[in-house]
Amino acid sequence: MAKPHTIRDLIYREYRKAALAPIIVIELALLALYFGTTSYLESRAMDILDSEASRNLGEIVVREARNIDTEIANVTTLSRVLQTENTRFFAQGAQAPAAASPPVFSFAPNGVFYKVNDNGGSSLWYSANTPIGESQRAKARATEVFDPLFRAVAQSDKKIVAVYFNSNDSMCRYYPWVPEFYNVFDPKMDIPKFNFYYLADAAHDPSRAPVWTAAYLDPAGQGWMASCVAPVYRGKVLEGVTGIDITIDAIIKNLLDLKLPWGGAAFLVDDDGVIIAMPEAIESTLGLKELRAQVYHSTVKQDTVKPEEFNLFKNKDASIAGQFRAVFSSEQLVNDFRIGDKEFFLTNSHIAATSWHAMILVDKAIVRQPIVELDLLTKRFGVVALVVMLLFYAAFFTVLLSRSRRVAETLSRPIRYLAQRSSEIRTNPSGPQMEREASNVEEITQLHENFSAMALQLASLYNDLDGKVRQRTLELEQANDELNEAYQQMAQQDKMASIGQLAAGVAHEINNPMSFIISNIETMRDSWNRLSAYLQAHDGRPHGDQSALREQLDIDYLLKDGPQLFQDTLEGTARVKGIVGELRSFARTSDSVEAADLNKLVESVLKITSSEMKNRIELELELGPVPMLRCNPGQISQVLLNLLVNALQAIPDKGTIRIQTRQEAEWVLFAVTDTGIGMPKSVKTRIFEPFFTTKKIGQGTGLGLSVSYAIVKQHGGKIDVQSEEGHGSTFTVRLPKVHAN
Amino acid sequence: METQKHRILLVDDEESILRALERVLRGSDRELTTASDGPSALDLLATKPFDLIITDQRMPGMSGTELLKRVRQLHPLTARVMISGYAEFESLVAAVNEARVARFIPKPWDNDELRALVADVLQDK
Repeated sequence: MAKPHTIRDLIYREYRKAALAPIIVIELALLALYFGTTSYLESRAMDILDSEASRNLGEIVVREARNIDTEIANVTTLSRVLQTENTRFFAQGAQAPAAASPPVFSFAPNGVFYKVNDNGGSSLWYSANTPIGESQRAKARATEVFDPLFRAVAQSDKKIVAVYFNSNDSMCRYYPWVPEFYNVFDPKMDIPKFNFYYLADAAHDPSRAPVWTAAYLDPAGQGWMASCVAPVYRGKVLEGVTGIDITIDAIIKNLLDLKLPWGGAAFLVDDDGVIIAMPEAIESTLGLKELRAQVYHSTVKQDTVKPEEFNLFKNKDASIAGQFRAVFSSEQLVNDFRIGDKEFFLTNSHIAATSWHAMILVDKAIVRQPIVELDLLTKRFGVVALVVMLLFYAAFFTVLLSRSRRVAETLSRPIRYLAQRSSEIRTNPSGPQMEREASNVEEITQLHENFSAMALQLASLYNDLDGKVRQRTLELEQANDELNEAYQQMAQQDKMASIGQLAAGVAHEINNPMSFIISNIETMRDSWNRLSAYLQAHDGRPHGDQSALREQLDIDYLLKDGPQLFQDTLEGTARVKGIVGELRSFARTSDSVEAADLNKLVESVLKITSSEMKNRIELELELGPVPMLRCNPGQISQVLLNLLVNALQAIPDKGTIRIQTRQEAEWVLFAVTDTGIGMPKSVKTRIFEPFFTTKKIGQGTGLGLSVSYAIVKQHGGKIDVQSEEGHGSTFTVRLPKVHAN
Repeated sequence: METQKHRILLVDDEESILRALERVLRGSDRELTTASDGPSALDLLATKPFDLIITDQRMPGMSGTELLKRVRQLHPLTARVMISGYAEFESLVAAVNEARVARFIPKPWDNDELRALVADVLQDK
């Protein structure tokens, strides 16, 4: 079993269970609910915000793309006009224009064939690589016819910086006029190798539609530029390309300067992933440091095609490159983008007329910032609430525990006192009385009063009881003494009764010698008288023949018989004395323990019973050598006598009684066997009970065997009985051997 | 006058009693014979006639009553006297009824009375 608790423990525990546990559970549940709800709301708000942002960004990027498209659509149309006109020119053949001011061509020092004078038309440049023959000079002259259209086109739109025609043999007709035009390009530049030419060739532009180049920084310092070029065919022969250079600085500036929500930044990229325009913020995000400031200028000098550093598909970061490729191939408006561990929205909108893509990159963290801030705030509120709550509960439980301790103390102190007192009372019920314990708990006060009263009562009862017990004990002892005495008396009476059973025999035993003693004494008196008479007759007379008288008085017989007569008589009296002695030894009550010879005891008992057995019992004595017993001989004789009397009474007519004595291991035993009526089992089991008897009233007390049993037990021995109905019984008494010590 | 001595057979298992009885019943006209038990008494009775048999009741083997019963059957002319203690009322009744004893002599006996009784019994012979 578990150790019982003290009341204080119990109260503490109950307080904890009743107050602490539910509150903590509820509070924890509320906290979980609070944080769960805010977390759920946050995630929901983020989703909403994300979708809102992506929708917004999508709209913005589409709108911007469209704006740009609109801006340049006009230029594309003009480019188409130029293409048509130039094509017609080549189809009809070169005609010398009727110009107001004819052009003057000459070779520059660097070998470039160029137009020297500004006649209000375009500049002209022929690569130093191209041998200038008549056809070249004719082409240079003939294409003067383009200038009015070039001028018209150039003036039609502010964005248009230049209008030009580049021939397949590296002639460049360029409006407006640029002084010292021969210095603008590398003198040996092979124009068809440049993107503003080959983009429109048969291989790149099989549909022969105008195409846009990527944006580039103008080497002449006019800022961000782009060209729209269109091929000019004569039949299947590509004579050259005509193009319009526009400054897209404004467009790009517009785009780059767009005040986008969430700190987003817009940029332009072409189909091949080459950056057209990009604000510094995104460059740094993509790991392209200061491209615009340093790298752009130097690279453009070599080629207007930007190098691989500007190609997003070839970004050093393979993940970024892959994501861009995926975004371009998916054509999806809003895409998720990841750089390192930062998440972005990347919107992508193709600008219809060009190969350009307007893109916006927005850091999701910024989109989500308000929510994150809100979440942080709610969490902060939650933490503050938690701390306040913990403080409150700490205070609450401190109070609660002190209250519970006080209640526990209030309850348990008087009970402990009672417990202690009751323990004392248990060991000493009549001990000192209780002091009154004040308690402000009604029940406890009452308990206390009742307990006090009970303790008082108990003490008085105890004292009373103590006296009574003492008295009862005394009475019991007395009763026990009386009972013992009574039992002793009964036992004694039983002994007497046993002897009484033998009264006839004993009487006979005494009567027999008495009868001849008396007879013999009378004979003696008679003999005395006769001898006196004989002596008187003999006295004073002369000796003579007295034989007659002698014979008459039978004197000779008297003399002869005399010794025998006295011997018989004395023997008779000795026998009487002996029997009386035996009887006395039986009758006496003695507690003395002496050394006794069991065989002698048997013989002595037989002396009393022999006459009873004389004419009907055959006695078989088998007395073996036995050691001396330490016993009360009177009592052992009584047992023997009882067993012998029972045996005698068990034999209705004639029979045999066998008495055996012998030793057996630790025991000295004697057994009395009769050939009497035996006992049924029902009797056998009860024979040692006091007052149990099968004898007629007056024949037995019913104490014999019970007394015998008691005596044998007292001697440390035991009685066994074997009996068969109709065949007789054997009683065996075993007494412990006494070791000589 | 009697010419023949009266024969008396005394039966008892105790020699002392037999000798005491002999002392009392001695007489010139009597022939006393003793036996220590019933069977030897019957043997003696078979050898010669007795006028009187005086026996004790309590004896090992054969009781006085039994002996006298046999004597009554075998030797009806022999007068039968029983000596016994008063206590044995049952044997006394048996002696009277079954053995038809002539006299019953209680123990202890008075010598004179015994003598007178025997004389009286022998008177009839």
